[in-house]
Amino acid sequence: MVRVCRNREGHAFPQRDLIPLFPVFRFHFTVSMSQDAPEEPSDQSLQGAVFRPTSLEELLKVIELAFGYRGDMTLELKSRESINGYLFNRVLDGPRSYLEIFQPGHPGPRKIPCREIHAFHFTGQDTASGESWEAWVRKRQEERKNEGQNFSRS
Amino acid sequence: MAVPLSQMATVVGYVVSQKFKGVKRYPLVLMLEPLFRCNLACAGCGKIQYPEHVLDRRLTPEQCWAAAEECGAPIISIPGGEPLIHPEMPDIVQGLVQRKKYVYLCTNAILLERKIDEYAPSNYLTFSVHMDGLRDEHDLAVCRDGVYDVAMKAIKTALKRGFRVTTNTTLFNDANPQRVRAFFDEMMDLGVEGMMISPGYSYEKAPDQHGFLKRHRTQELFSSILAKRKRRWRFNQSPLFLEFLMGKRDYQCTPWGNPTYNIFGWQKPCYLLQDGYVSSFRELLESTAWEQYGVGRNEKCRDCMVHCGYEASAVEDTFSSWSGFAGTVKATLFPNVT
Repeated sequence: MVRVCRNREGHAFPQRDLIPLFPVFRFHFTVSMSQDAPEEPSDQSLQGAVFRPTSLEELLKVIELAFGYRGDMTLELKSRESINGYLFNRVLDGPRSYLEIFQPGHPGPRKIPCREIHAFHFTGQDTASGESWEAWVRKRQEERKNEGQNFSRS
Repeated sequence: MAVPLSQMATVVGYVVSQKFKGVKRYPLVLMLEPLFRCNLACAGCGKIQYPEHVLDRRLTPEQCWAAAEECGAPIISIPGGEPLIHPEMPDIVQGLVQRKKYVYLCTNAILLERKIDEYAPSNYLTFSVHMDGLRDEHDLAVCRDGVYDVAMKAIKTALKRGFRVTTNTTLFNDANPQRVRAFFDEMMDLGVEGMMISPGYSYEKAPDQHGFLKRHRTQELFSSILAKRKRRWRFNQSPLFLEFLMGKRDYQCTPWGNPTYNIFGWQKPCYLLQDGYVSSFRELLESTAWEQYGVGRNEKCRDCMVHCGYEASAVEDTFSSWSGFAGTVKATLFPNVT
């Protein structure tokens, strides 16, 4: 199934376009949402996306996306090992740059040198997506309306 | 008086000693987040959006005590998540109190009555109850009906048991000044020690992105709320910070004033922004590019006027010059004189 995503300009594009990857940044995904023209978080979710950076510049951009993502990632290493977990930190220091990830069931974080990463899979549910305040207000108004109708019937 | 004299003396002594030592950046309040799990999902909160295995992680009491000692701040605020969910929270609090830290245990109070026997009243412990306004406003803000009534009952119980209780209130752009003023009256009638107020911060991850206040609107709103302030309202905050909210004073942010420690480590640069983590407080102070944060320096800081960034600025102003000190005295004794 092809899921439709939207870029910041609101243009729809199929998710599968992300998979072959670069130049993926033509879509202008950013970590932060515009504060002046907020959009529904679900429209911008990276959930399901895969990035395989081919240059240092691309790698740095994907690291920022991954760092801002509120869901688990699967990192595919050049050694073919796959590491699943929540990426909570990145330390960018030239060739010694690394990411820190909390893996389910592991007490401490694991450090992964950036140079060893082949691909970033945004596999986990984006926990910052959906569950909007507007949905809660709609539900609340509906409940109040129903309460009023029940009261007038009784 | 909104704060006991002993606490005030401790804070004044601490700040003056830092000044004498020539310390340029000193912490005032440690924001200790022992867990991110919460029993509410408030619309304006960007703190709890994590996968389950991250929400299951908690700081140990030893980690909390070590952070408090390393940081050295005289006040420790414990937000979260909902701290009362943490099974070792009574131990954490007891250890901090033994270290003579003034602890503000922030809670939505849903679990307070059930857990209150696990805590002992102390001058060093305050329950800081999240109250975002009168019943309608609060229940709407926390996205659950009935929470206001639960919190009110819990506050009464805590006060009856001899605990120090304050409220903390986050205001969004739909706040009605008259309703907020009525809320202040209600809290004072309850007998809380003091109130803390702040505009909400535009968390990138919060579900409600439409409710956050812009800077100018913040100043208008707080000017309306705090104009002709009633004598009986007690605020657990610097009077200069309240003037800052009203637009009477202009401050730059002091992010190191309220450093944050949580399951990821010491958070760069502040309680609200997450720009990375380091493993020690010293590293936080030394490796953070502080000059890149604050109004006019960072887009994410543009509209922020939150107390965790500016309360320390106000305190610094008080102790940095005679005019700041005089301004504090005037704002304390004559808050309505312009």
